[in-house]
Amino acid sequence: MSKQITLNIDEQTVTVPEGTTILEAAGMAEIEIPRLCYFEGLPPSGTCRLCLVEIEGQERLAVSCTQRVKEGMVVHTRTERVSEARRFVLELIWSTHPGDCTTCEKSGACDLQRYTYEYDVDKARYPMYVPEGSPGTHDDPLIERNLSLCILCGRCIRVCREQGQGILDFMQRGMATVVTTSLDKPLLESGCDFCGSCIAVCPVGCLVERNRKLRGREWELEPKETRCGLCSLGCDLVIDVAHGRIVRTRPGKDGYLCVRGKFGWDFLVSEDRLSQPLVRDGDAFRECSWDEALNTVAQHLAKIREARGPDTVGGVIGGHVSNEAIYLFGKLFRAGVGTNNVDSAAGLAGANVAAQVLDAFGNLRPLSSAADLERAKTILSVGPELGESYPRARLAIKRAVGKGAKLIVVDPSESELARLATIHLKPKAGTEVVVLEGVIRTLIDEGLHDTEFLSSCEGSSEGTMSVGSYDASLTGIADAEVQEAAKLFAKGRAVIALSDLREETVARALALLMLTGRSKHGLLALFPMANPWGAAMLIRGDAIPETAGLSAQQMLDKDSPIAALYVVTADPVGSFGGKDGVKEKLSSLEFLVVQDLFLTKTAQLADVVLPLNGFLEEEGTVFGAGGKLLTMTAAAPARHPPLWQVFSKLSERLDHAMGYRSIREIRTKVKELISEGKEGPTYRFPSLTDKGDTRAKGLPPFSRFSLPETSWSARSQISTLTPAQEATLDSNPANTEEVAK
Amino acid sequence: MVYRTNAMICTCTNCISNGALQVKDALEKEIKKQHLENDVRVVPTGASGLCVKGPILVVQPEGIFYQLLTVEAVPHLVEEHFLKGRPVKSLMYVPPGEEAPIPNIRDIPFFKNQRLIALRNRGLIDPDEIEEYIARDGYRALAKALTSMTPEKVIAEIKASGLRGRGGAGFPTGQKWEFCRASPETPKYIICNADEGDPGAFMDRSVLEADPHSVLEGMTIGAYAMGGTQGYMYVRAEYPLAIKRMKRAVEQARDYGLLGKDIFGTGFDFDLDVFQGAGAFVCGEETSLIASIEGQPPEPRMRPPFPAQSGLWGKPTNINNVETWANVPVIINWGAEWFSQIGTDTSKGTKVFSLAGNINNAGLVEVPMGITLRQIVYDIGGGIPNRKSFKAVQTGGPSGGFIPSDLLDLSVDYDRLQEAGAIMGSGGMIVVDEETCMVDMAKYFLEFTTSESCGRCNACREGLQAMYQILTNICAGQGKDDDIELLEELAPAVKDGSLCALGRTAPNPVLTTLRYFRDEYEAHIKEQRCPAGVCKALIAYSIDPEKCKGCMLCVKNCPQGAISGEKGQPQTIDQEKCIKCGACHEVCKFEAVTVR
Ligand SMILES: Cc1cc2nc3c(=O)[nH]c(=O)nc-3n(C[C@H](O)[C@H](O)[C@H](O)COP(=O)(O)O)c2cc1C
Ligand code: SF4
Ligand code: SF4
Ligand code: SF4
Ligand code: SF4
Ligand code: FES
Ligand code: FES
Repeated sequence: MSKQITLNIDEQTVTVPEGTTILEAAGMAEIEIPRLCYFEGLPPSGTCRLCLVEIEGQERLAVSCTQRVKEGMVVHTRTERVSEARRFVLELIWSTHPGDCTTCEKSGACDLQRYTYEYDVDKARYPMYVPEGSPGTHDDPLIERNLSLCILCGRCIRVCREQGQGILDFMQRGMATVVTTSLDKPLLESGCDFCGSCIAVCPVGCLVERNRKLRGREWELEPKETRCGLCSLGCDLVIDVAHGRIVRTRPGKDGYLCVRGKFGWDFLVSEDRLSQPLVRDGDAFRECSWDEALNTVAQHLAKIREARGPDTVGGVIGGHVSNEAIYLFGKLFRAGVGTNNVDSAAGLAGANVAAQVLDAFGNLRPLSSAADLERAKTILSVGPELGESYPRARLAIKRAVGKGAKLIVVDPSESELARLATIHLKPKAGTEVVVLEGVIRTLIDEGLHDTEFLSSCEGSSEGTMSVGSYDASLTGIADAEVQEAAKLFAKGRAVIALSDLREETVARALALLMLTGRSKHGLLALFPMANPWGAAMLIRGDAIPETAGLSAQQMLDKDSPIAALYVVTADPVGSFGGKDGVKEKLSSLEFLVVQDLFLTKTAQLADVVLPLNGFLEEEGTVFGAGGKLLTMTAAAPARHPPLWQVFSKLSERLDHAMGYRSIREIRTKVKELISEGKEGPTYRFPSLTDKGDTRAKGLPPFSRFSLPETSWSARSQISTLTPAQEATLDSNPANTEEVAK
Repeated sequence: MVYRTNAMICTCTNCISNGALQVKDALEKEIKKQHLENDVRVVPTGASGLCVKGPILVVQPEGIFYQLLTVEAVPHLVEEHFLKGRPVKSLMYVPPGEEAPIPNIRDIPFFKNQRLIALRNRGLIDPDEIEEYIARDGYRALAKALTSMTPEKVIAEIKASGLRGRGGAGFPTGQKWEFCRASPETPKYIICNADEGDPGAFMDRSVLEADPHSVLEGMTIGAYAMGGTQGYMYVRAEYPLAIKRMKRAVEQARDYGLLGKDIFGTGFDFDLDVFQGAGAFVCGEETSLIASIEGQPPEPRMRPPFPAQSGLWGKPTNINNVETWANVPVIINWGAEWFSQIGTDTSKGTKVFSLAGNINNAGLVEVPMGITLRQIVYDIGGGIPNRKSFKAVQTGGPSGGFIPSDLLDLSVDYDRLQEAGAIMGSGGMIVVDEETCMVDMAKYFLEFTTSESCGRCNACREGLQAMYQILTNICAGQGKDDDIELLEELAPAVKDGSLCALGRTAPNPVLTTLRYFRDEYEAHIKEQRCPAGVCKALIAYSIDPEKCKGCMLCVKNCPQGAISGEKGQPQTIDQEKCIKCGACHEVCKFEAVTVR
C-alpha cells in the first residue's frame, strides 16, 4: 500500500494515499470543490482556476486539481478570498457567454449555469465583446457543436486524445482561441469515429447529441443502467428516458461507448419500426391483434406438423436476444413442435465459435472480456480493421499498449491498430491463417510451447495438428518477422482478439492458446451481436429428441424438407441476397413467420410478421465477451409482449404448456443448464487438418500429438472473408458508417 | 599570415539590411585595387551594438570607429585611412549636440560605459571561424571543466558566481542545474532558449550571430555538469542568419571534437541539434518550448513537475537563455569570485539590453548590474532626441513595467526593478518621451499580450481582453468613472489566476502606469483630455494665429484639405474635416500647430 497522508480540509481530518490531489482528497471527504476543466479520469490541465483553494501558510491560492496533498496541510475550500477568485473566473467566462439557457439542451445539467447561480455572478461587470466572426454551430452529423457556448475547458480535447481519435485541439490564440478540429474541418473529415466521449465530458451545452434535441429537458430525464446490446462486448450503458421515449444513452462505469452504443440505438425510435403484427392478405399485409397473429401461427404450424410431420417445421433465431428467449425458442420447437430443427443464426455465418471453444476447452473459460484485454501484456489481434469495427476493443488495446503491452497485429491493411503495433504482420488478404500457422510452427520449432500443459490434453484422432513449414511467398511476410512475432507472443499474459471468425482462423487461435498453455481469458472473439455465445449454446437446451436436427444452413437449403419456418431477428435474405437459393427456398415455404424490428427483406416474404422489442426494451441475460452471465434490464419502455411470453403462448397453443410465470423462472433454468456444463477442464487440441486426414506422422516433442511434416496445403485453404460473413447475418442496422450518414 | 590591420565590418542582421555586405565587397575590391590585400584583412563580425549607425567598420588594432558607411564612401576611406594613414573624420561618430567627432571606439560613451561579458567577442571575431573563437580563449573553459573539475565543482562554481537566468525570471542558474543533476532519470536534455519573442528585442540574436561558440561552449559545460547527453538549440524561425551561423558552429565544433563522442578524450559525450521555433510568443515559455520540440502544439503546461524533473519527453531537462549560457565559459575561466565582484549583492555580472524608442543611440548595450537608468539613458544612450524631455523607460518587454523620471537613479538589478513594478525581463528597454501617452502605451502592450496569450487559461485569455477593452474605451474617450478601479481589480486577479508567466506578468504595464501616471488616466476619463496629445478621440489640432506665418506648408501636407487661409495670413483648421493625423503638427517649422 502506498504511503498515507493526513491533512485537514475545511476542519475535517482526511487521510488519503500519497500523490492524491487536493481536489480528489476533498472529494473523498465528500467536500465538492467546483471545477470546470477537471474531469475525473482525465489528466488535469489546471487552466480554469475555479478549483482554487486556500492553504494555510501558502501565499498564493492553490490550484486544487493539480496540487498534491502534503502531510499536515490545512486547506480551506470556502473562504471569502476563494469565493472572490472563483467569482472572478466565472464573471469573465459569463461576460462572453452568448448562451440562452431557456433553449439550451444542457440547461439544468450545465456546470456553468450551476456555478454562476451558486456564486451569484453578474453578467455585465466587464466590458467584454464577442469577437467578430466567432464560431457558431457546426454542421456535423450526430454531434452538434455550438462553439459559441464553448468555455475552452479543454476536457473534450483530453478525452478525445485518451479514447477518441485525438482530433480536437485548441486552435488559434488569445480571444480567437477555439476548440475544434485541425483547420476547423467537419468531424467527418477529421477522422472522428463519433464515440461521443466529448459530449459526455463537456460541462456546457457546446457539445450535444443531435438526436436528443427537443426530446426532453435534463430534469425530466430518468436514467436507467443497463448494457449495450449492439456487439458482443456489452459495455455498461446508461439510458435516459423522458416522456416514455429514449432521449440519449451515456457511458456507464467504463466511461466509454462506441458510436453504436452512443448513437446506434436510434433505430429503436425509428418511425419505420413495426408497431403491430401483420398477416398476409394477398400481396399485401394487414395489421392485426397479437391474439390473431399468434393463433394464425399456431394453427399453421400445427397443420403442417400434422400433414407432413414435425421435422418439416424449423426455427432460426439470431444472436441479438437474451439467453432466456433463446432457450425458450429451442424449447418451443423441441417440446412444442417436437422437432430438433432449431438453430441459432450464428451458425449461418459459417463458424460456430462457441462449439469450437467448447470442443477444445470443454468450457468457456478461455473467453476474455474487454477488461481482460486491457490487462494483457501481449496482444495478438487478428482480423481486418478490427479496431475500426470494434472501437471498444481498440480502446482496450490502446490502454494496454499505453501500460506497456506488446501488440502483434495481423491485418492486411494499415489500420489504426497497425499503427499501434509492436509488430504489424501485413499478409496478403486472406492469408491470415497461414501467418498463424507460421507462428505455431515457430513456437514448436523454438520449443516455446508449454509441454506440461499439452501433456494434460487429450489426444484424439481429430486432435491432430499438422503444420507445414511456413511459406513466406504465400503471405508476403518474411520468416524472420513471423518468428519474431511468435517469440513475442510466447511471453506474458496474452489475449488474442479476433474479428476474423472463420472456422480455420478460430481453430488456429485456439491452437495458439493451447500450445502456450493459456486456458483462461485468452480469446476475445468479437461479434456484431449481443449474445452469440448464448445463441450457440442454449439453442440446444436439454432433452434432445432422438433424431438430430438440421442446422440453420441446412434448413435454408433449397432442397431441405422444411415447409414451415419461424425466423426471429435474422434476415437471411438481406444478408445473403439472392445467393445460395435462400430467397427461393423462403418464397416456396408453405408458411413463414418472421419476428423482427423492421419489415426486413425476409419479413417481406412472410405470411405472418411479428414485431419485436429492441435490446434496451426487454430484460434478460446474455453471455458477455468474457463468458460471464450479464444482466440486461429493460431500460426503455417495452412496446410489445416480451419474447418469452410470445414463445410460451405459442407453445401453449401447440398443446405444450411450458409453465413459466416469469422470466426469472427461466433464468433459473438457464443457470442450471450452464452449471451442468461446468465439468472440470478437458482439453482437446483443435483439429487443424481436414477431418479424416490420417497421414499423421509422429514428430517430437509431442508424444501425444502427431505433427506431420506437410499435410495441410495452405494454398487450398485460403479464402477471403466476405462482408456477408463478417456481418454474421446481421439484421441490426447499427453499423458505424450507416449511423454516421 | 599576420596582417598589419584588421578591418572589422559588422555583418549583423541590421547592418546587412543597411547594405553592409555591399560595403564589405566594395571594401575588399578597393583594398585589392590599392594592393593592400597583404596588409589589411576584412573580417565580417557580429553586431557591434550601435545599430542605428550601421553599417559600421572598426579598424583594429587602433580602434577607429566608422559609421553609416556607403559603397560610395569606400574608395575615399581606403585611400585616406589604409593607404595614407589619415583617418576620415566625416565618417566618425559625433555625439548628439556636439561637433567634434570621437575617433576611437573606446572613447565613445556608448561603448565606454559598457562592460562586455556575454558580448565579449562582439566585433572582434569572425563568427563563422571557430579558430578565431579559440584564439580568444574559446573552449578553454570547457577543457578546464572536463579535465580538472568534477561536475559538482562546476555547479558549485556557477552557484558561487551568483549567475541568474537572463531569460526573464532571473532564477539562480546554479540552483537550477543542481535540481537537474539531482534528478535520477536519464537521458537528460539541455536546451538553449533562443526564441526571443519580445517585440523589438535582439539581444539573443546578436549573441548568436556574433559569437555562436560561446553559447555552444556554455551548453556543453552545462551538459557535463548536469549529466546531459543531448542538447537542443531552439531558435526563433525569424532568425535565419543566427540559425545558419549556429549550424555552422555546431559542425565546426564536431569537426574539432568539441561536440559529439568522447569530448577531449574524457569519455564525455554530448551532441546538439538546432531546432527552428514555431513562431508564437508563448513558444519562449519553457514548457511550451518543450512541447514544441516534442512536436506538440506550443502550449504551456502545468508546473510542477518542473522541467528539471520531467521536461522534454518526460525526462529531466534544463533550459537556459542564450545570454545565460554565454556567461558560463567566462565564469569557469575567470572564476566565480571574479564574476561576483561585478554587479550588486543579489544581481551579479552584466546584462545585455536592447535600447530602443525615443533615444539617440538606440542599439545593443551590455552593462554591469547596478548601473543606474540615468547612466544607460544619458551616458550610453545619448539622451532623448529632438530636444524633447524624458518621460519613462519601460523594461522587461511587453510584460515589463514603466519607470518614471523620478526613479532615473534606480539601480538596474533584478530586485530594484521588481520593487519599482517592472521586471528585468530578457532585456528590452524602451525609452519614451513627453509626447507619449501612457494609457496608450499600456494599451499597446496589452494588445500584444492579449493576442499572444495562448488562450488556454481563463484569467489570461479573458482577463487580459477585459483589461485591453477598458483601456481601449479610455483612449477612445469612453472611459467610465470606475474603470481605474476595475483595472486595479482585474490586474492582480489575472496575475494570480494565470497558468504561465505570460499571464502572470502581462498586467505589469497597466499596473505601473497606474502607479506612476494615474493623473493621465484621470485626465482621459474625467476631463476627456489626452495630456500627451496622442489619443485621437481626445485631441484637436489648432493653429496659433500668433505663431503662424502663413507659409501654407501645412495646407500642402494635410491629406484631407482641412486647412485653409490666405497666403501670409494665419491658417485655420476645419475640425469637421480633420482626421487628426498630425501631419500639420509634424511639418510646421514655427510650432504654430498645437494639440489640445
Ligand atoms: C510568455 C513567455 C515568453 C518567454 N520568452 C522567452 C524567450 O523568448 N527567451 C527566453 O530565454 N526566455 C523566455 N521566457 C522565459 C522562459 O520560460 C524560461 O524561464 C527561460 O528560458 C529560462 O532561462 P534562464 O533561467 O536562463 O533565464 C519566456 C517566458 C514566458 C512566460
Ligand atoms: S451552456 Fe449552460 S450556461 Fe450556456 S446557455 Fe447552455 S445551459 Fe446556459
Ligand atoms: S466523438 Fe469521439 S472521436 Fe469524435 S471528436 Fe468526440 S471524442 Fe473525438
Ligand atoms: S467543447 Fe465543451 S468540453 Fe470542449 S472545450 Fe468547449 S466547453 Fe470544454
Ligand atoms: S463496443 Fe459494442 S457494446 Fe460497447 S458501445 Fe460499442 S456496440 Fe455497444
Ligand atoms: S478544475 Fe482546477 S483549474 Fe480547472
Ligand atoms: S498563455 Fe500563459 S497564462 Fe495564459
